[in-house]
Amino acid sequence: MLSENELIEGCRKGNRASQKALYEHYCRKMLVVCLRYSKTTAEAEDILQEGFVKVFSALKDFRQESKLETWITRIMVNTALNVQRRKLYLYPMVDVEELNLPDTEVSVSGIHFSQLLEMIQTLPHGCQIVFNLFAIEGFSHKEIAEQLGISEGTSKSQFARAKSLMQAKLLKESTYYERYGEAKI
Amino acid sequence: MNDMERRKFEDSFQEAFKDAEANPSENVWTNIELDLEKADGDKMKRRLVFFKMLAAASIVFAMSVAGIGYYVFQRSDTGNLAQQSTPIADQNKLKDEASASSLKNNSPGASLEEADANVSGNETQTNKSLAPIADGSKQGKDELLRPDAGLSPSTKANGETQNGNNKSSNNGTIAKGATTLIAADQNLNSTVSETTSNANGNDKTGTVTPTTSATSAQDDSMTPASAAVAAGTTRKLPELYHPADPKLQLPASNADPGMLLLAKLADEEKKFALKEKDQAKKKSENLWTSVGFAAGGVNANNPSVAAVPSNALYSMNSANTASTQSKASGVSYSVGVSVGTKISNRWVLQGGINYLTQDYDYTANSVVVVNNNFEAPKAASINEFFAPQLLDATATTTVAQTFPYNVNNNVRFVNVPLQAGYLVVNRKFGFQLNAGVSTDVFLQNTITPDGGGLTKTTQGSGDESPYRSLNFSGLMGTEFSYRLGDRYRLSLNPGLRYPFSSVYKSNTGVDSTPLTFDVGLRFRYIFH
Repeated sequence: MLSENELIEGCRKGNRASQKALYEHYCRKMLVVCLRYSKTTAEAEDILQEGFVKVFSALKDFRQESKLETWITRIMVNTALNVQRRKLYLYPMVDVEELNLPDTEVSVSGIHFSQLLEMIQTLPHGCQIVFNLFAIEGFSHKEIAEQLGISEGTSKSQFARAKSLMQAKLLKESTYYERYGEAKI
Repeated sequence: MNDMERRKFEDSFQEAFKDAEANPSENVWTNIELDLEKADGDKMKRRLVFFKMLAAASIVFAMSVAGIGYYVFQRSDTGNLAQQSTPIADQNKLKDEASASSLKNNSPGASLEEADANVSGNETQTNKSLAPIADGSKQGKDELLRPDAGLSPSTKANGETQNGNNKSSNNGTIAKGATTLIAADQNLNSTVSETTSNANGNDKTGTVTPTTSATSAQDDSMTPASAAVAAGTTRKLPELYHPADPKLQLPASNADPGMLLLAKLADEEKKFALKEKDQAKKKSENLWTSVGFAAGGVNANNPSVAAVPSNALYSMNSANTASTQSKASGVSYSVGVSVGTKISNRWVLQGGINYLTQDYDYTANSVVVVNNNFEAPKAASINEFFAPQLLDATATTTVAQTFPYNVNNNVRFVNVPLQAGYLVVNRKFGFQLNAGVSTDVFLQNTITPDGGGLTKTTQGSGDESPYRSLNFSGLMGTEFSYRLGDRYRLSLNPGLRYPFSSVYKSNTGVDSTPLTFDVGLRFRYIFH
């Protein structure tokens, strides 16, 4: 089993076996990242493919100032955003009205990530991106606004709408559980 | 909402996706590999363009050096002529003075200046510079030779430098074998997807397997399952995470599909290995033969001439002719065949046989007269100045002074070169560095005076020739080549040849190691 440094060195030299080993190590986690930013698995796999090609070509510039996983995740997110920007060009992100939120926040603890993923994928494009960037990647609205070329207010309103939609979906889920008494997955 | 205060809701999402994993389909890596191959191919194309540019620059450089060298040789020839013409004019004037018995009509200083002006006033047109000298000293001409014999102003001192042509074409360098492998992989992957899709479902560790069939089922943003969730009517997990039963019905066969797959894989591998082997055999280049020719310039390279024996009657001007002959520069042509073999991954050994001709043009001012037969003088050769007794011990050989006349000295050798080469670039385009030694066997030299009055002299190898019968030269050069198909390669070979010792025998009193620069064009046939 090669160490991470050996893998990086091998990839820098263009060694195909090292590249495959690196891919095998990170592809599963990165696919989830890509799935969060896409509507279908095929779309996510396209992003994953494009992202890994970028990783291998940019690995020579990786200075190991951060964890390799963080660096690869950033590349995947940027690749996904590039893909989504093309759609956002056609459907610009605008301020949206917030929905009426339930009084109490619905918890997501105990819900399998695959269900959450399913819910995220059903969000509108703009909401999906902002929700991912804010709630999961941890960017501020200012940073999101700069990355997407939108106003901070738009980012906030998109997130608020995304959150409302997510809570509505989660509420339905919890109602279902309460009604039929099934254990959460 | 404050960005800095992340509430429980967002944090719980981060936590939920922290260790989430999903299996991508096999096609993803195949496509990545394909993209990487394409990128490598582009890189190779850029490299090829670079090497093409390098080759072009090298050829231009080689041509420039050859051109400048030739120009310098020409200049030095003209300079030699000017140097030697000055004392001739002086001597002629002295003779004029003696025969006319009058010093007042011809001032020696004025005549010298006039002769100098005639000689050096037109450096680039040797013919014209010689004519006035001949005209201005008719009396001397009558004394020695018939007036028009050997003095016609038709000097030719032009050499040629052959230029090779380098043709190259743009060809991609994508490895066919790799493409085939990928294609085979894709076929295999699709088979795997069809037969084993949905094998991995939603498990307790939270691993998701989006397979090919699942992918196609989810092309729309809302799958039936997710639509059901959204509608809140029925609770059914999406197909992505609860894969349906395999849609592909295996053929009614008792054979294990896994074994069938392995058999197919083994078959594909065998086919690919055979193809690879065939391609490798076609691309190998281990033994070859080539035929080619080369042209270039030869520079006398500062020869030294010993003093002429002082007791000889001919000592007055013979040193000048000897010096001129040995200092002459000229042109070199060669044709030959060679064989080569690869002795390691990067090293090659090449040998062969060449026929080499070198043409030197110079101006002489003396002739050889045998047994006082002034009716049939001949152009002198170097060895006749210094050791005439070697030619014919019984004959009385005299070197007589005459007016400048043009001489062409054609020297022929057979070379047996043996060179080691290092392959710097060994692809469709090749770049090779060569070094080695050549055994030079002297055949003959022919001294052809320009004009009808003097006899042409041919000296074969042996005692009659001033040239060593056997000599050794060092070779150094480069080779730019381009492979044409599986069997042929065309190459351009700029190179230097430098004799380890003087080409003249030691008893001639002349020590000269002429440097040859030529550019060869070779056509190579590759056996295997």
